[in-house]
Amino acid sequence: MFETAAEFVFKQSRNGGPCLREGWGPLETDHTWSIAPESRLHIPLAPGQGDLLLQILLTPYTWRPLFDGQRLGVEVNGIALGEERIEAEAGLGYRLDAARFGNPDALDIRFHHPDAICPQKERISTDERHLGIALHEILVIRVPPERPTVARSLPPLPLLPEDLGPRSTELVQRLTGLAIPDLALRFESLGHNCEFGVVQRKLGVEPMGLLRFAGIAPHNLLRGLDFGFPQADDPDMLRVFIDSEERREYMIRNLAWGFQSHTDRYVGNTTADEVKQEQVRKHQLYLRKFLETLESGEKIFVFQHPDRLSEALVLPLLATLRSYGPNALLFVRRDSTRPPGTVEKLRPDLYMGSIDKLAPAWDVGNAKFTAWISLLANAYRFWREEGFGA
Amino acid sequence: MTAERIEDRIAAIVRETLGAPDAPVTEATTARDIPGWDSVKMVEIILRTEEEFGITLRSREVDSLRSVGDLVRIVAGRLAT
Repeated sequence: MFETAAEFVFKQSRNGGPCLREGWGPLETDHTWSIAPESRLHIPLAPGQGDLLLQILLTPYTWRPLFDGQRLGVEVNGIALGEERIEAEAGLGYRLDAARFGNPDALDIRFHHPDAICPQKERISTDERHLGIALHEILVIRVPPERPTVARSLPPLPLLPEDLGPRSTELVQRLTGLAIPDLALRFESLGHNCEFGVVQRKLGVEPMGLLRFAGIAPHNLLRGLDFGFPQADDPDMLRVFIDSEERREYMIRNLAWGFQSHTDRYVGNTTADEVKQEQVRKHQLYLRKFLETLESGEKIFVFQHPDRLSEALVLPLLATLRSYGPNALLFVRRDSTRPPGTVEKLRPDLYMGSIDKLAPAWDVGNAKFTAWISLLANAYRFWREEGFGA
Repeated sequence: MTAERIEDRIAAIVRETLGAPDAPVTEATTARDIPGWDSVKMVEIILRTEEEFGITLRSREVDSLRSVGDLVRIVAGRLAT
């Protein structure tokens, strides 16, 4: 769907080497390290016109618990794009509008690494370099022009805490034209943990979602979506294991894409082989359904993560979703500066939801349900307003 | 194929999948009515129904399933087209 303007992979035997300018170490097996407070890349682009989406796949240098992330400033062709704090492997995305960047034949990318760490100085290893990020890949695609968006915000619905009764029903119906269960069905979870799946259950629906009750790291999610999760239902890629000696629940891990889910099957009631057979069938249906949902544009995708999410950190995810069809994304982040349930429309297809607390994986039953109702209702209103799901 | 015949065949799939040969299954039956009818069993019922009738349910149709009657109506609609 989108035209690739540049794709460079920064590891041995791949094509990234000639793009490296100052501030980088040699290409290694899976990446190259930035080794100075600043680093620079020169990315030649295939000829073309229009807006670009720059995507950067990287991993910060960390040494927990002392150094749990890195700030990263990004500048392209002399224009500062912003600074992010990265705590784990991530994709960063920046839209480069033709109106601002023209039609360049190359991108000169400068990274600023104010938190770069010298492992030798910190007595972590003998490495004397100042390590900031391990760069994996740069992808630049040409994207269709976007309608100008005036950033708008919708406040939380005036609901009392845990008010899931007639008042919330009436309010949601009035604002969205939908009953609460029907509203919950208009969203598809992209995993991270079970929180949104549990929210849907609390709101009265049990949609079959590939990632609804799945724990998946953001970089695995991005890669899986990029490739369409092949082998997600391959018996050889599904591994059954026991959660813990205490719970004794069989869990299923997808080795191809690194996500795992509960099975609600317990040791003593069934065998691992039977669980695997059931799960293969389940994954067959769920994968087929998930891909169909991606192509149909009938739902809003939901992504939440406890790390500090920003537009730059979710744009690669949105671009991948858009490569399937007319999709939109609600990303939910923990934010104490906005009332829980607030949703901001950043782009026609990108909505940022704020909540004061995301439930940890072991306590998703204590999700903030009324805040989630506001998030869903507000995102749905933006989505309809932009003509999606018609 | 008549709706009654479709209902009979789907009821048989439900009973067989759930290992409940004597369970009363009608159009109004939902997962709450028969012990053991969980999401895994629901997947099996859907896939067996698809195999039995040679159809593929769409994502939206799967989401809309609440009762045996919903499944019967979807299958009947598909077979009629």
